Parts: sequence; structure tokens; C-alpha cells
Amino acid sequence: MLTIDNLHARTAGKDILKGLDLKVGAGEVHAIMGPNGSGKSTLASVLSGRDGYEVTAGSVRFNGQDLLELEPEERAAAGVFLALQYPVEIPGVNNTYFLRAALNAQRRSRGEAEIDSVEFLRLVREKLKVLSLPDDLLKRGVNSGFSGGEKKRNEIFQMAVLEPALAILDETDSGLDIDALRQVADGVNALRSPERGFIVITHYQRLLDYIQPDFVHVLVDGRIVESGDRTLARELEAHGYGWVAERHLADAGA
Amino acid sequence: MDTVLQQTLAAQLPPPSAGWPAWFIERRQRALDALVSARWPQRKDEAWKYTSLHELAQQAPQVVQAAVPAAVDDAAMVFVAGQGAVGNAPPFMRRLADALASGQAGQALAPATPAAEGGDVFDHANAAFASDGALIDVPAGYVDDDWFRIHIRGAGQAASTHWHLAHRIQLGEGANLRLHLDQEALSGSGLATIVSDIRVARGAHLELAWTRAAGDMASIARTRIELEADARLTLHVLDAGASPSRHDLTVVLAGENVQSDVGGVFMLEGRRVADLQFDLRHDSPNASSNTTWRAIANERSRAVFNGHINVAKGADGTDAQLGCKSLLGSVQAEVDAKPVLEIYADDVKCAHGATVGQLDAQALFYLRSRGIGLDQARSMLTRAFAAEAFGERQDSPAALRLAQWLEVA
Repeated sequence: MLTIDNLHARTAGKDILKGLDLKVGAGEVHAIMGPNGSGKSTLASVLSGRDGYEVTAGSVRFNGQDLLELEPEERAAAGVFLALQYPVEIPGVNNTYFLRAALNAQRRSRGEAEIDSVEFLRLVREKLKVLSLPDDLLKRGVNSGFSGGEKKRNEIFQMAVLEPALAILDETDSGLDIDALRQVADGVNALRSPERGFIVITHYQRLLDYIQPDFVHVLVDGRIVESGDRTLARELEAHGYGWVAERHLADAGA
Repeated sequence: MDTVLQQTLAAQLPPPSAGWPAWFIERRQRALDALVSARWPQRKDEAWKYTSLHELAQQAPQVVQAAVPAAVDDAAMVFVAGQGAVGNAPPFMRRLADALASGQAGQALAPATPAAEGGDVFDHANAAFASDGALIDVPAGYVDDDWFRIHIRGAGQAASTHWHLAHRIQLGEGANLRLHLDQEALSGSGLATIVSDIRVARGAHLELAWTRAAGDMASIARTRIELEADARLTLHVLDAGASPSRHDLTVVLAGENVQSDVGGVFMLEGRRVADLQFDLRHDSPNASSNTTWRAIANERSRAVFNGHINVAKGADGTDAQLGCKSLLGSVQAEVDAKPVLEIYADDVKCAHGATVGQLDAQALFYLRSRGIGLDQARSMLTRAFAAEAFGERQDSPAALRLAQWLEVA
């Protein structure tokens, strides 16, 4: 589904990604862990097409398309979804209106019929229930005045409505208490399916107790230096990132 | 008489109509004389610093010989190029022209005569030429939730024309009125002036929405609103600019405990100009005012917001808020915003501010990352930005019209 090959990217004049390789197949959940500044959020930004990030080498192919050639909205329509680390507050844009506009824009660009308001409301109510989100969230401005936990749950709610092929979660666990973390994880787990891939970016192993990944990758200094199954996350938790970095340096030296 | 426009107008004053009272005939002749000798406003004048009248000065617009409009649609009144017709209106809404013809228009019912107060060339033009407008005298205690619409149109021709309207609106004690001045696009070139004199008696509430579609004429509005004690004003203005669209808006909070909520949006494209000279006077204690303006200037357009609040000596307990935020949609667009507070009372709470910026890049990316195209995302954010001017009142005719203008797929 997604093939990242030798990806180099820079932002604000600084090289961040330095030859990243990653393959994500349908139905797989990949966790990307790494210390601060290793390039985790840069990877999410590059994949979603955020301004200010320059790809200097490498390629990203998504279901046969050159993902890097697409505008952010075209990536969304192709099935890429990014749950932001810091969801943006947009007062004055109604949450329901926003979500329906997004869904219909995606459907239009895929040549599908638009969803009518009755059908849309039914869909939205059903998804809200799964995430234990209050109904009044629909009437408010996008993330406007939301708590940190509500913002993150709203991201997962949007994902549930938009049903992407590939979901990228950028530190969705940051700033969440244990209850909110569980709700977010439940929301994600409910969306796991053989057709959908996930990239779960996180700093801590804790989230991975709830969203169990098929693969864990360790990102250090812009490269994936170690990959394994979910036991790798536990080893990291026990030994710290320094342990991987040292092993990696030792390998490089050998 | 230093411009082509003044010379042209001077030669065009129509003869008095049958029934006009003598004072009115004299007044318009005096105004014509004043128009002829008036100095043409220059960019070096503080009040015209940002808005050029150079093109208008060279024009030779003609009086419109339009028939009185026949079709009135659903509006209470319709005015086409300065001449009106009454539609589905209550008895207290009349035409100034009818009142003049019937000889019932006493001097007290005449529109304000700024000419006497050292008005400028546009005040004089209006006083000389305007012989029609809305004459509204709402009886005390009148309450109606419906909006009355006054439809204002130009001659609808490409030619250069000039026309003038004078409105006189009074609300009796405790009365409520919802009024929508719905000004259509003024095509062609030339000059349109609209002078409105509005008085709101004790405890009355006026909700006024004024929508002005994009035009190519010079559209000059002079509005004075005076509020007695315990009165309320909710004023919403939506202006797409003209060449130029200029509004000198004066709100006088004459009595105690007055509440004034003014919200306005400039939505400008092309080379259009919208220029607001806002003068808010807190003359009595314990009045509160909230003025929220939003300017969106795209392409080569220009928005001017000159907001002035004066708190008189003794107007203690005043709460005055004034803010103007602007969005620049292109590097060639221009916004000149100047909020000014002048305070002579001791116990007051005042705040003012102006900002100029662009659409938030983070918010744009957020919308696009969900699949919303760039144009639609811009439109959604622009609408949210502008709608702030109308606060909780998103059902007012100005807010609804704004939504129409920014209709997104």
C-alpha cells in the first residue's frame, strides 16, 4: 500500500529525514517510536503534504501513485489521513459542516455521489457512539474550546467518518490521561480492518499496550535503525532510546 | 465650482413638483448654491486621505428620468435611481415624495440639513436633489418580529447617472423595528448619495441591516443615528465596495443606559474601495457599545476603517469596545485601519484594536488534509472570519447575505 524509499527531507534549513525506508501493507499496524527530534513528526508532515517541508531525495508511493506529487486534499481523497499532534482550532466553522464538506469533497474527487444530510447525520451519530463523544460536539466550531482529550478524540472521530485507507496518528497519545487514551485506542481498534493500514507515531510504549502493532520501528536521526515485532517496544521501554542508538552506532562502526 | 461634476450638477436641478412646500424649494436652491461653491475634497484632507475622488470629479453624470418602479416584489418599499414606490408596508412607512406632494411634510419631517452645519459637496448634492426616500415613523410600543425590506437599485444602465435618497426614520418610545436596507449593485458610473437621519426614542430597539452589493458608481452614504435613554441599536453593515463606497456613520448615544452593537463586513474584490468613517459618541452615563468590523480585501481593492469613539465628560460607567480585523488576500490589496479613543470621563472601560493578517496557514492545511480543496477551504475560513462581525446574530439579513456571497459547494 505504502512504500517509502530512501526519503530525505528538510525543514527550516535543517536536514531531518536522512534515508528513511518503510513499507506498510493493507491491514498492518506499524508503530514508529523514537526520541525527540528524530524526525517522527516530520515524517507525518511530509506524508500529508504540509507546507514548509522539502523532500530532497527518495520517493513515496501509495497504491501505485507518487504521493509527493499530490496536494494535501488529493492525498486525503486518495485515502491518506493524518491525525494531528496539535489539532487546529477553527472557531466559526461548524464541526458538522466541516466534516460533511470534507467527506463530500473526497467523494466528489473519487467520482462518487455526495452524501445527503439525513444519511450523513445517521453516519455521524453512529461513529460518535463508538468514541463516547457528546452529541453537542457536532454543533460547536471545529476544535473550538475543546479540551486536549476532546481534540484528540475528535481526530479519531473524523477518521472514523472519513474511513481512510491509510491512517497516520502523530503522537495522538500525547497529553491524554489514561481514560482518554483508552477511548482513543478503542476508537482506533474499532477501525482496524484487513483493508486499512496504520502508522502510529508515538514517544511512549504506553499507547501500544492498547493499540497492539504488528511492527515496531525505531527512528533515530532521520532513519529507521531497528525494526521488530511489538516486543521491541517493551525492550525500548526497559532500556531507553540510548540503547538502540548505541547498538546502531556499534553496528555502523563494525 | 472647480470640477466637471459640480458644473454638471449645477445645470440640472429639476423644477419643483406640484405641492412642494416653499421651505423645501428654498432649501434645495440654497443647497444647489452651496454645491456650486463647495470645495472639492482632496486626498490631503484627513477625512479623504485614503480614498481618491479624482475620477468622480471628471464625470458628467445625468439625472435619471426613470419611471417610478411598478413592481415592488416582496419589499416594503423600492427605490430605483432615487424614486420610490411603496409595497407591502405598514401605514407608518411612507415616501418622502408623497409627503412633500401632499403638503404634509413640515420642516420637522425634513431630512437633516447638514448643509447648515458646513456639509461637504455630497451633503449639498443630496439636499439639492433628493426628493424621495423612506419616511418611517414607528408608533410608540410597536412590536414586530418581521424584517421590513427596503430595496434600493440604480438605473441599471451603463451610462453615467446621479441620484439621491433621503431617509428619515423615527422609532417612538418602546418601539421595535427590524429594517433591511437592501442595496443592489450600482452599475454604470456616476454618483449616488443616501442620507439617513435616524432617531430612536427611549426604550426603543432598532435592528438595522444594510447590505450594499458591489458597485461601480461612487456610492456615498451619510448616516446619523441618535439614541435616547434605554434605547438599543443593532446595526449590521455588509459592503462589497464601489468606486468608491463611502459611509460616514455617526452614532450618538444621547441618553443613559443605551446599548449599541455595530457589526460590519467589507468584502472587496477588483479595484473597489470601501471607506467607513465611524464616529461614536458616548454622551451620557452607563451606555455600552460594541463595534466589530471585519475587512476582507482581495486583488487590488482597498478598505478604509476610521473608527473614532468619543466619551464625553460626565459619561461615567461607559463601556466601549471597538475592534477591526482585516484579511489581506493579495499583496496589491490595502487596508487602512485607524481606531481612535478620545475620553473625557473618569470612570470608563474602553478597548480598541486593529489587526491586519492573512488566512491562518495551519487552519488551511487542516481543512485540506481532510480533503477540502484550497478554494473551498479559503472560502470557509473567510466566512468564519467575517461572520464574527455579526456575533450570535447569524440569522440577520446581513449575515445571511454574507453566507450567500461566500456560498461554498
